[in-house]
Amino acid sequence: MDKSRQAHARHAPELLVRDALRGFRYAVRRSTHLFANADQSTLPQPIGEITSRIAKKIDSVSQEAEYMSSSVIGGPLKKAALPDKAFFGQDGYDPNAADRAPREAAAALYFGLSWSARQLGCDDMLLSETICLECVERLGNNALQGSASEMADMLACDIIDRRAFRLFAPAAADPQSLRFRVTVGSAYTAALWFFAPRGIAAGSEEDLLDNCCAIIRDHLDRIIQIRTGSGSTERLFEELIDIV
Amino acid sequence: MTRLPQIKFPHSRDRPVRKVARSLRWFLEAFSSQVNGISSETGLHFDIDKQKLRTVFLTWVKLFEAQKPSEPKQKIGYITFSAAMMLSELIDGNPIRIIRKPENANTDIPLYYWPEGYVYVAFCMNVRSAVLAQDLNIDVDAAPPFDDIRTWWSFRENAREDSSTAIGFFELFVGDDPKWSGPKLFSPSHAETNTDRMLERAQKHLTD
Repeated sequence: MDKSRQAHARHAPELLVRDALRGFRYAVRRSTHLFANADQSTLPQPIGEITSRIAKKIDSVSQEAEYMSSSVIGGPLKKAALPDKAFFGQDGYDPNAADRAPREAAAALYFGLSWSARQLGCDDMLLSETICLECVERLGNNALQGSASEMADMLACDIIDRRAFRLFAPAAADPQSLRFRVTVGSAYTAALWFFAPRGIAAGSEEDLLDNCCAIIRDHLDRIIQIRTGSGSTERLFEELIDIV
Repeated sequence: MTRLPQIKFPHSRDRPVRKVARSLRWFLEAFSSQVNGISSETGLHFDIDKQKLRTVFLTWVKLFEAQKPSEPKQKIGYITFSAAMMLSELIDGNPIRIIRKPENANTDIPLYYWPEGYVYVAFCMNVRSAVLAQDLNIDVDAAPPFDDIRTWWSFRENAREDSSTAIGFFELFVGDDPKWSGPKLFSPSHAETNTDRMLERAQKHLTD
């Protein structure tokens, strides 16, 4: 962990604990799932049955630990629902607005990312609450001189480069793989949603997120091409913010 | 001239229709408003496939940007051309489906003959006329072929085979000369001729 991340993490130790427990549970669940799908007839009995029981027990213990941590910590991010319509200003998210708590924005970001990942075809990605908060805090530190497209570009790049989606390394992944496309697509969808101007048409935030996702899906090949060539997607965000 | 079916345009934050029509949110809501308006006036009921409608918009906006002219006079002609391109994409994507129509509907009336096509044409004509009204202060309605069932027979048959022919029919419906060859390519000279004719008609309309 680098120094800057340690500095941010100190502000939210409970998020780190939650992320660790969720990561542990995610790994256990994936292993259990792999085991459940394996051909158990290849294992001599009773070893197959015992191993299956152990895996299920570990899953249930890890689930309990995660639930307990939630109740003790109080569910760090209220991330299960869309933010209130008033949360975003006329020009989208304003990191400098006095009444915009970073945690509220991090929860919105978490929601946007997990929702987009499902829309784009992956419902088993592990998202870090801590890194969502870090990305939002970095926006606040750099937002004074930024245009909407600059901030959107910074947010999307941060989500990918700081690996908000855990247990997956975009830099080492095949750009054609589903997980890579979902990671990049979700980051760009959430960033576009954050910085799209409001007040055009009367649709809900969910409609807006749907539209952002459709636009990013349509431009995903171009986005990946620009990123692979180490180019900036700020100009592209300018175009996309105009057509949301 | 025939009055067009009513439409209620969505909020635009004071952006002109010319600009806000290139926003997906605005497009979806304006199109839904057109569908609802026609439904409440006619007893026709439609199902809208939002995903298909989004695809139509995203394809259209790329085509729009690809041929956008810079000359002011060509820009006027481009208003009709881009509305006609939108019609072609709507017919191609076909994002609505009729789910109920009145019993004994008279299919000699274009609306009941091809309800989906009628909605697409009405929407594109309404957007075009809103842009012309805002930008040039010209009030336009539909030309006689819009009510002519024989034109609609030909329109539906041709457009179902090749949606780009819808561009020529759209020009007929607005009172322009149609360009049947290479309709998806914007022709500045063709557009300028039609613009002159439209301005003459508008002038005549004012003095009548």
